[in-house]
Amino acid sequence: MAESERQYNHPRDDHNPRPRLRERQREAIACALFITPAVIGFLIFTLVPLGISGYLSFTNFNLANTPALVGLANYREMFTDDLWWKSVQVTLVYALSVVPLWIITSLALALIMNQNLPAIRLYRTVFYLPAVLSGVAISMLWVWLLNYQTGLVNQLLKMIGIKGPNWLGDYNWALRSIIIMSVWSVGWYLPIWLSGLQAIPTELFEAVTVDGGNWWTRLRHVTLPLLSPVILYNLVVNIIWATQLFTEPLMMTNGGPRFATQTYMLYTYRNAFQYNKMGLASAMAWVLFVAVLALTFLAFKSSSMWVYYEGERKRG
Amino acid sequence: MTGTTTPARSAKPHQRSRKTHRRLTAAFTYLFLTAAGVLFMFPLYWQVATSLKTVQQTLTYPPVWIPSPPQWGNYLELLDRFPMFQYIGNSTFISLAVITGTLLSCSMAAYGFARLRMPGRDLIFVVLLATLMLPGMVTLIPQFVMFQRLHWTNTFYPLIVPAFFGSALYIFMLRQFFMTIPVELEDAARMDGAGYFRIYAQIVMPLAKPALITVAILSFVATWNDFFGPLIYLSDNEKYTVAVALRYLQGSVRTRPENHLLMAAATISIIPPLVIFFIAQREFMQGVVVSGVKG
Amino acid sequence: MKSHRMTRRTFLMWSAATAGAGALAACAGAPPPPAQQPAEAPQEQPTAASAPAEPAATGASIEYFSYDLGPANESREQIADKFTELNPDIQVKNTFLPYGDTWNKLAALMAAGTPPDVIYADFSVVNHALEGNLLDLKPYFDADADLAVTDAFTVDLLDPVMAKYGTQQLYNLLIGTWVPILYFNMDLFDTAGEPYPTENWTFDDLRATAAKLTTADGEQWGIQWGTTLDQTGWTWWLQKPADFWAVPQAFPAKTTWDSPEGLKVMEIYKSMGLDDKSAVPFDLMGGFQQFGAAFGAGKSAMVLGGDWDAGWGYRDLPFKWGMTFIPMINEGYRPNLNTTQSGNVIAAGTKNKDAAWQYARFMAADETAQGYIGAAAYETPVFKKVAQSDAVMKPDWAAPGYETRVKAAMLPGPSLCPYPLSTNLWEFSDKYLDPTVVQVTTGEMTPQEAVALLDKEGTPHYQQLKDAMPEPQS
Repeated sequence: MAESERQYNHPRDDHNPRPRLRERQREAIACALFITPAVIGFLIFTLVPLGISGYLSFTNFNLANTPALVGLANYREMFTDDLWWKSVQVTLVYALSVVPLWIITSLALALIMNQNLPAIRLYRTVFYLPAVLSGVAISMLWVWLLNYQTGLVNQLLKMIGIKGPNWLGDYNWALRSIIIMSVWSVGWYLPIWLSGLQAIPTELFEAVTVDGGNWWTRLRHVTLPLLSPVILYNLVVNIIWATQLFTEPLMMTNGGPRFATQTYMLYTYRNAFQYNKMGLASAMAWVLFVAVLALTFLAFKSSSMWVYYEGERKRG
Repeated sequence: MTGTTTPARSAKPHQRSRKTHRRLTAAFTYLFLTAAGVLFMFPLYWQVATSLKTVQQTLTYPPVWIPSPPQWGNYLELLDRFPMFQYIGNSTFISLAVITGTLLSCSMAAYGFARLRMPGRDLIFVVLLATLMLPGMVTLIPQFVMFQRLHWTNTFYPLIVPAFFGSALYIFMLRQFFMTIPVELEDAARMDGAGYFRIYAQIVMPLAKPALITVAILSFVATWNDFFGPLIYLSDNEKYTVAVALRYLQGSVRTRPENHLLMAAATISIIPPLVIFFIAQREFMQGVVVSGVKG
Repeated sequence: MKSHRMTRRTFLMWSAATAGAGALAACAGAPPPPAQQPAEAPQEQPTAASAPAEPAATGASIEYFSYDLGPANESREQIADKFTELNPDIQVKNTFLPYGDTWNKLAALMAAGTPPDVIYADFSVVNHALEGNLLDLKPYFDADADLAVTDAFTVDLLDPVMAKYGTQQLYNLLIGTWVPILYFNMDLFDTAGEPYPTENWTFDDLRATAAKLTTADGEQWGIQWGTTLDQTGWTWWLQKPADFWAVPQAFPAKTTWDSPEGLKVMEIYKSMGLDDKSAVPFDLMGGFQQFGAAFGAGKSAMVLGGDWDAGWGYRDLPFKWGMTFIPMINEGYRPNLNTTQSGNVIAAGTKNKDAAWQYARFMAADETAQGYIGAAAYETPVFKKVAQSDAVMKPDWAAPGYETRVKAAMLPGPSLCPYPLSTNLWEFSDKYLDPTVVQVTTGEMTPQEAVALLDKEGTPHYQQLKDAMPEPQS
């Protein structure tokens, strides 16, 4: 948001300090035309269902009845529900752990992968692999790997004299196990980072190298600033995805033990389709929606301080 | 040895040590990559190995590491249980249609959001982005009712048409990439009298090739692996996709999972995304064109 | 600068207002779930239904909607083919969805006003029953003299568990029964030199034997609490014929947990889980990927499970196993076994009511159809003659004691519902029962505290039950 304001209030570019209004209008019309399909799609395929789910959050919809308005009852039930608060806590812990882990490990991996080394394409494919493997097959594999007694992980730990925890069965370890497993799928971000890194002009690196800068200088003063739009993207998408965690706890722990891995999404799903409380589930979804929206908004607000857009340089 | 090693012109001591240093770095890199690569490859190995086991072997402990003899018959059994070729065809058709729609609509919208100014543009953008955050489970029923009213259920339309109207995830991504493209190029084109659409089609799109390919890969994988959409919107078996077959084999409280067949189906289903990724990544490396325009 | 801000703010308000209006208009224009009117009593009397040989409708096509039954899907195809052979005017289309997705899609189809015709039911459809989305089958049933012949069937064909309280509306026409079973690993019993469990076992016998079959190294346990004791199966324990849970029944002053039997159930958990450590601990249960978990892996000598596993999953287990009745809770008190039942419901919104009824009836009461169900071995057929045939009681692959399935289904006593229809059993066990049991097995709660808590007036669980029950009729 902030960056646009900056753009909007500044003359268009150096060549033409005072653009005629007509040109500005033409640009606005062009903009409208370019974004129209997306806006129409949004109105039809998203906003209408979204609005209806918002409406349902004030009703007693149970998947079978004609919804009747119940005021704020669902919201009241949610805020007084211990299990809801527990799911908020689980999701926060997960998101706060996994978002930095994802960003740092996947960026580090991508920096290594971006070198022009022989056979690097093979390695890239290998690291990308977990992103295309079926979530089901993978969850089953991890359940076996992390098995308390017979799992490979604990067998290996035993060899070096460590008694491994009951990864998925222990109240304190279950969520950590899922966090560890999530990190393994960082490959998803690999193509995004790589295409971002490829867009950085090589002579900028050369300039720094000529000036005697080491890899840290290059990273700090060239790579990171030029990559910052991609970092913003990954940050926002990561936050969103972290709050949507659902399949892994459902498959691996079913939310247990004792709700230790019952994430916000899993609890929403349970309320919607197992407990037949679609009204309550809609309210939960909307609270999450507003919370993540606020976070995203903050990320964008702050982005003017740390995100650097090459395309904007000459304008501001 | 490696592409990064600069050929030493003379054997001055500090250059030699630098060369050694680089060699060491490269060796260390490979060591790390190989070790990590084994970790990342293991699940794939396990998946393929399990797909070649007997039912008994999938259950025994300690696990069977190398199935012998490999049960290639599992793949035949899979073909017997599901019309896999039909499903692969359906998955391919839907995925390609989705890629086409996504690339077209998202790149256009992203260009608008990244480069063209209009009052309220960024507000629209953030609202659009927010749609990523509302879980599909609460919009499922309204959406289904809507597609039912359009008489689109039991057709591929609900799976394909929305892609032609943009997806916030990819619009956002492309917007970020477009914003990194130097603006001088466009200015030059505009001086030559090019219109907005020509700039988009002839300048921005070619420059954004790596990002477009990334979007293509990501949307391909997402569509290819989606089982929920096909299951909910389609009712004829012959319209189902590969991911649906996987879902059936997964078992549930009432049906026993058939691990060997599940893994066979999973193995078949990862081949197209992997091949596409392997081929497409070449384009990341060729995408280094942007630098030429500086000056 | 300022004017721009204003523009933006105005735009924000505008778009918010438009979005809100759009959403409202959408709701008004398309009320999401047009619930069908409850079928108080079908206007058109189902005369044709009583004459199943004659086609009820011409050119009708009905959809049979079921969750994926794995190998038993074939039996459904056979039944559909046979039915169409006898009723050439009615086409039957079978739909099998993976279990979890079945109910999501059903909800969507119901909301869209295009429900499938006949639905293979379990507890996931009770909300549809309560809201009148299902057809009341009582009038059809009453008009069909053949179906009321109790001697011909192992149970009452109309399932009281799927009844609407305070009314006579019944929704579920049974095609089969399920019973809980005590399975035992004969190899482990032989190795330990222990005699196999018998029909006369009480839980004290179970406990004593389980302790002997448990090894100290944590590699083998005496028992695994299977389906019968972990989720909804739980709730079948505390009912007995003719107790006050009969349907319809007003809410009693207290639930049955705080009773000698309820206390005994909790003590079983404590003694075997905490004192003897002869039961597979709950926190290890998720780790067994094998079908049948610890029992399937040969690490538990016994399991309390559903009888469908006998016909299916356990068939391939690499050891010898047998089956018998679950033990009596106390001497002379056997929990009602005959309660988990499988049947069909009909959507009230079906366009082919008569054809749908005819098909449901065919599955329940036709000897050939029941034969297919029996051969599939997923559930025990309700048609007594079929159920008691050698093909069902003693198929060539049968394990020792396999006939227990049929014998348990034939035990006297009506099937009673332990909880009101509107109690969501998944929520109930997730939130109240399972955590309580876990706490009992870890020693955080005594059995006395557990039953008192579950019965305590004012607890959410108690309130939920109470709200779901009608006031006592005076």
